[in-house]
Amino acid sequence: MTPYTEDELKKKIRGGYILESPEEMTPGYRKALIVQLTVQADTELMSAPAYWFAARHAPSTNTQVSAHAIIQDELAHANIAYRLLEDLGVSKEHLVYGREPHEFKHPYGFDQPLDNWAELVVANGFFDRAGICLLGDVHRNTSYGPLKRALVKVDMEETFHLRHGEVWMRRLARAGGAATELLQRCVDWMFPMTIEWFGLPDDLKHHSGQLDYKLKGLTNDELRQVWMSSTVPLCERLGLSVPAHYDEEDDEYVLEYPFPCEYDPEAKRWLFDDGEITWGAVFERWKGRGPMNEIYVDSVRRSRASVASWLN
Amino acid sequence: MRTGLDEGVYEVFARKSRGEPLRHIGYIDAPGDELARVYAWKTYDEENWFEMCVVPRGAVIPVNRVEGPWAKNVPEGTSGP
Repeated sequence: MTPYTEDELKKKIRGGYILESPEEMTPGYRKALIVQLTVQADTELMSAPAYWFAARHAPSTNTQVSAHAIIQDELAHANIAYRLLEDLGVSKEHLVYGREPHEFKHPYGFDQPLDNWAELVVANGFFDRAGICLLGDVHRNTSYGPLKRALVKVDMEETFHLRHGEVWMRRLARAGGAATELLQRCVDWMFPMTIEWFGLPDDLKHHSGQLDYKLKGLTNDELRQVWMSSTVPLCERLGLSVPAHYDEEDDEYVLEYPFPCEYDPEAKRWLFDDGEITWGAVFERWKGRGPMNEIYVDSVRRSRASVASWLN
Repeated sequence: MRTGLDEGVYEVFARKSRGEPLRHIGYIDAPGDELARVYAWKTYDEENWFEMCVVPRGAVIPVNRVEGPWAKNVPEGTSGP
């Protein structure tokens, strides 16, 4: 039984209180934390097959090692997040093996195929940076002690993934010719993909309680700005064009395309010319999942049943 | 449902270098002690640990706190220290 009402717990948390076990949680807190951890765990888990399929395009044994080291990290992060969920009474067995592929809560970006080495390194540069923005904020602000400690390792390793992405983006950008053209094509679909990942703008967002419970510190729009404040200058330094710029007067990054807008996953192209769509339409697209959803989910669990049957 | 892949929880402790405290760094699910050692070492590879060990969750006996992951290990009929 929780010893606090929702308001009492929120007040304690505002004063710096750190929760250490589920017994201290109110139903609202527990529910918000479970949603947050499920998104986190599913995202880490689904990044693994996305990167794993792409790692086949690694151009050397060294790059094979670094690509697979990243995949290994992602799986460990997923494992840790599912373990935290298990302590909240949620079954890891069900989450990983019992759900339909479309029920996973990872972002739409990890339903897309990464078809070459450039797409993998831009994923490291863009998607892993989004991971750092989101989880770094959780690490600094979360009121749940076990999560704060678990994120020490996660932050450390995501920073390595980001560096891997940046270093390789720089190499491809300097090469010129076909390499740079390919890199630009990656940026063209992956930049807006990451922007959308941060979710509903603040003026449309229903109050989820994640901020009141200090499960995170920054809003969606603030996190989107944090991501752009490092990604846009990086791309500009590398001579890559991105559909966003810094506006000095308003002291913020501004998108130069209709947001949100529709995406053609087969062509890997955003339909800027078709104009702005509603967030309802975006949620429909997310719910329908992307082209690799079933393949990725199957790839992390295909042998579970047969091995389990051998052991019984 | 028992699957033959059933796992128990192990607490993972590690020390960064000589002179440092042994810290609780996380947990791992494993079907036995041997694989718990392997999984812990492979999962928590963010540091070059001087020392790492694993303890089955059921073996941690709380002394002064009666909630949290080890609560059910409090010996019956006892209260605080």
